[in-house]
Amino acid sequence: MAEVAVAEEPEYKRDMEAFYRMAKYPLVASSDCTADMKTEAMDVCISACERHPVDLEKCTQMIKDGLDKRFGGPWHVVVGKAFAFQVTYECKHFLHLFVGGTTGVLVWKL
Amino acid sequence: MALPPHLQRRTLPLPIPARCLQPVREVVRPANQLALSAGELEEEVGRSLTAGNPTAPANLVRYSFRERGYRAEPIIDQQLQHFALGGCLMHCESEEAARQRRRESQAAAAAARSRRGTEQHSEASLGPGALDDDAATTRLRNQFNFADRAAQTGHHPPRDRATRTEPPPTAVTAGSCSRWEIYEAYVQDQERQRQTEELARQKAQVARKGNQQAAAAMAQRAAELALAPAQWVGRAACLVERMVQQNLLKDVAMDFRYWDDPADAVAPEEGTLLPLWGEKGESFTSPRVKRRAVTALCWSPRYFDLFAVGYGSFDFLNPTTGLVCCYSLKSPGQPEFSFGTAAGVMCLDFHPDHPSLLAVGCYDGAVVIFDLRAGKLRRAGDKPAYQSTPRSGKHSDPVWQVCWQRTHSHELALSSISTDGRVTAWTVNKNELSHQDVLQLSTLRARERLRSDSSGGSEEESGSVGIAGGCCFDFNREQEFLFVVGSEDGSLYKCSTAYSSEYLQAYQPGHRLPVYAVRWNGLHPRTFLSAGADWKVKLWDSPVLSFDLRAPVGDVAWAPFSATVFAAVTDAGKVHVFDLARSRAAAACVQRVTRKARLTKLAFNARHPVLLVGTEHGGVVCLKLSPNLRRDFAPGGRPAGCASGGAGSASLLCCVGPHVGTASTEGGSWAATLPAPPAALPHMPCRCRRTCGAGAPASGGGATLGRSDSEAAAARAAEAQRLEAVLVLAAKCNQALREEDWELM
Repeated sequence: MAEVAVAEEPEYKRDMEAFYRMAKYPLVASSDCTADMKTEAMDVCISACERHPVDLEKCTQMIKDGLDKRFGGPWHVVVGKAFAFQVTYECKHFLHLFVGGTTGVLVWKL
Repeated sequence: MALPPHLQRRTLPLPIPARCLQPVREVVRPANQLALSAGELEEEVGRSLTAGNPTAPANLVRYSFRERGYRAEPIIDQQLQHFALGGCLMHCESEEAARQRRRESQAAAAAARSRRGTEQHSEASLGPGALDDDAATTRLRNQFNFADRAAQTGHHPPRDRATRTEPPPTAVTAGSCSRWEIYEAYVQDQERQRQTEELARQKAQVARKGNQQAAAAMAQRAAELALAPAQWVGRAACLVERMVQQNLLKDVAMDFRYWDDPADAVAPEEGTLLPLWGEKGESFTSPRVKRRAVTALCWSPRYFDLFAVGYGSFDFLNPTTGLVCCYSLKSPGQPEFSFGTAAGVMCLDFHPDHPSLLAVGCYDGAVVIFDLRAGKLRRAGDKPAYQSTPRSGKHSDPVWQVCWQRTHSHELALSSISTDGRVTAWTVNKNELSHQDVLQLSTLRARERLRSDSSGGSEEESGSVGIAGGCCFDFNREQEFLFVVGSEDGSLYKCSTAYSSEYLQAYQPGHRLPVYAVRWNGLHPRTFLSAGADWKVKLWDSPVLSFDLRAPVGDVAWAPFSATVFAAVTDAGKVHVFDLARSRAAAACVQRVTRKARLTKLAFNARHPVLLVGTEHGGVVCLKLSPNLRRDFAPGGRPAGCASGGAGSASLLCCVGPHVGTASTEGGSWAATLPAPPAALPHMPCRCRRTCGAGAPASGGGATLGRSDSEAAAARAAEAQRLEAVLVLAAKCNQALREEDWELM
């Protein structure tokens, strides 16, 4: 029984490396954007995180510049491995996603 | 210069002596005066004075450069001015003085004008004044004398207007992000993905299996949704149309109720018919009719305003499909119900107790029963409730008349007659019509031969020879087994359902051409009318009365309110109404209804003094009888159509009263009410003509409803008496005539 249960357990639950391998894709934690806007903003965030995986400051700057250019208005960006937030945002302009299983990206506009 | 002598004067010595006061003339002459003679004195001496300058040179020469030499000056100036003094005075008549005066006068005039101009200008500012042109042109311009005009528009103060847009809506959210939250989010996402994949797989399987069933269910649901409002809307539309029709044809409805021909009071022997609806073909028609002929007419026994019209063709070279339309007088535009049949309709009959049942005889020999409730309002329900099939004794020739039977049991029975020589009784069973031949019609001659043959022993030819095609029949009101048959060859037989092989009586002489209609009198049980193509309408009793209408007679009918009034329609397009109590010879009313079309059928309304006439072009005309044609109804004298007290007669105009239903038979399957017409129209129970004879009050009309049964019975008896008197009188006349004169009739 125990063996069967273990066999049914997915690999990523046992091994953190496996988890990271599995969690290559971005995952939207919460968002209220329109579908088009969401995909575009996700592209911006992902490309920035890939380009600056270590220097988060540059990463946030890049995301902010990209979003401001595309959608206009003041965007605010938080990138980090662990944070908590309470923000006021303009409706339809909020996106919280996880990138690569390690990083959380929070963007909103106000 | 010496003066002439006569101008010279001598000075006188100053002291004048007093003694010489008289003038003394003394001529003194100078000494050196020439002494001249008188002649020399008289002589005129001309002398001219010239002014010469003594100092002027006499000969002045100047050098001429042209001639290069000195030349003497021809003119030498002799003038010499000794003294000159300028003065301020001038001579008053001199030119300069005149110039000065002129100048002064002009200046004065200009001053006066300018003064006047300013005055006028001030006047002009007060009111409209005309400045003459001279003054305007010569107005002086100086700092005190000018006027200027100017206008200044109003000055609007600047205004500010501001709007403020709504700030974009905002929302507040909170959350957190940490390693384990990220981890759990990814794990949940993986779970979700696996579940959705599984669901999709299951759905695909289900869809593959139950594709057809699901589609059928969907289609059924869609059909239900589509149908539900259609019924509802149809009912509302029907109601609205009825309202509109009543508004449009309000005057016709008023005529139906209140019109009485004023000419009737003047000419008591004649009456008229007023066309109400359908005269011009705009009412009582339907797009489905398409120029078919009206082959049958029947009033509903329960609803006084409802009637059925059968459409088909009397021209048997080009038969048509059939149509049954039920119209209401309240909504003459459209049929309330319509049913189509495969072959042309030849006859119709409403069941007297179950008014939703309509028996129809067709050209192809079929007997069909329609249930009006199945053909819900305006929806063409072409599916009959019952239909005879070739297996179940369908006629082989057109069915010329169908007639519901009143039975004592609950089963429904009807009879039909056809030109194939059969009179058939039909019984409505649960699912089918079962038939039983009542009578096999055959000519009298064939019957006699049959009798002689049967005595002789051979019966082979009996079935096929000498068939008499039946055209019409009618059951007696009082003796229900008794009926009269009119045949194609013009003969009339009295038959009974009890004896299928024998005629009770053969009426002689019959018609010479096919008999189109036979009708028992509703109030007098012994008499009946027959009408045929030989232009004759005959009244049969012990004496025979014959009426020649000068055209083939399509239909004849007794008026339900009188024993002596009947009407007939002819191919000439005329309606003849006879009142035997008044005249046995002449019709009380002969009126042309159509110009060209033949009239085919006729039906009296049992409650109101109206009758329907059908034409061969599919038109139905509703005619109202004038008071002279309906006066016989009530011996008391009130016309039948007038509302007596208004309580008992349901009017077309004032609509009150519920539907009256009767107890249902056969476990409720034949509830006798029609589907309620939308406007909840009044339908008082009324008696059909068949019930009239069979015990119910005969004169079905408003007047009887108000009376007691005994009074009604008395009125019926009086009517029957009236006819009896007519017949007795006719019998006497016939006695007087010779026997051979009957042939002439």
